Amino acid sequence: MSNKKTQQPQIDELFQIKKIVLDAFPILLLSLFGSILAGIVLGGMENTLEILPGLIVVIPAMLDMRGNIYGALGSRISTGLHQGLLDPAQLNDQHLRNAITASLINSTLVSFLLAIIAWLILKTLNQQAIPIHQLALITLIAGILSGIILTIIVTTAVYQSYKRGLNPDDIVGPVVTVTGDIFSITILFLVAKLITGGI
Amino acid sequence: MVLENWKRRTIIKETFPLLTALAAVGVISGLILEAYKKTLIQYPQLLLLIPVMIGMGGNLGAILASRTSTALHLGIIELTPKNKALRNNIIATIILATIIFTLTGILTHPISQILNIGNQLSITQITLISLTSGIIISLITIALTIISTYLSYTHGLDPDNTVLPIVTSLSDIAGILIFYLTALYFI
Repeated sequence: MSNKKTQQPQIDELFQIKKIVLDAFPILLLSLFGSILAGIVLGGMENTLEILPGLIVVIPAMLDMRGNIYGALGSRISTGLHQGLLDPAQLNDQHLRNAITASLINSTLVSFLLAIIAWLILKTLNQQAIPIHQLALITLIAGILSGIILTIIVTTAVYQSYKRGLNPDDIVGPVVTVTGDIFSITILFLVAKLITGGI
Repeated sequence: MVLENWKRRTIIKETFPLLTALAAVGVISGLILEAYKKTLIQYPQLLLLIPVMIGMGGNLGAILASRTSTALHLGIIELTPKNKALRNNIIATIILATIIFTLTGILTHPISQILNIGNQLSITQITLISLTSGIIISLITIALTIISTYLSYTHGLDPDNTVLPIVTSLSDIAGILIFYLTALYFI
């Protein structure tokens, strides 16, 4: 019982409903802002989605993948900086290059596989779909392009926040959620139009 | 010398299988979207809501999951319904969901008007669709988070590594499905 009493203030402090809500709200609001921007692009894609059957199938995975890959990249770089493995003043570093190329390779391979998986399932279910080489080319190019852009954004955000004395771990999540959705949808849309001769 | 866990090969080997599995799960959400494409194209305002519906369940789950697993590690939380810390976390998640999904509805309507994305649905309809599906999604996300945290913990796995991918990918599928059913109800 005495143990419970000494723990009580700590619990109250950490788990007050008001505190949890206030802590989380700004990040959720930022991510809402990013998602709405992505939604605006998606809302303008209705024609593209209509003439390219199967394209909509890869969208949720493309959105999630960005967060999974580049969120992980950001926290890896941030850990590296905290551990002193990476030098905040030196971007030309073998560890950093490895982390970035590994993310880009992951993103390229998974984007390509995603198109194959999606197309095979669509065909198995006897659904309409654009030719496999078109779908794969769209996700592949979109994966690489948005990968490069997100790498630049995430790396810059982590290094800059570290240099300014902020904890990059607090910055990575919001940066990826806000920029990831909007860039992956916009680039997917542009590449789809380009590949199918819409531009 | 490059550290072992910063080698390209190691990083890819550790993350690639999970990423591929998550992409495959994401295809299920995509197939649900494809099945309802007619409705979505007929009401483009609903397209505007999709990234929010895909992302927000996962975001709420992520916040709840990381707090719950930290607290489990610290020994503050026991996964019983009477535990006050757990209860407060759940209540806070529901409050956050209510605020965020109400805002979503209120914000997307004028945006769809200004950008000429569509005007078939009124602001009340969009807000009701967003809020109702948002609350249901957050309840499912809460259940998924607690169940997967509990299972990881009892199986000796670190919830920090397992819960997030499970919750974000499964709450995607649930989110899209519930969003569609709710939209049909209010249209």
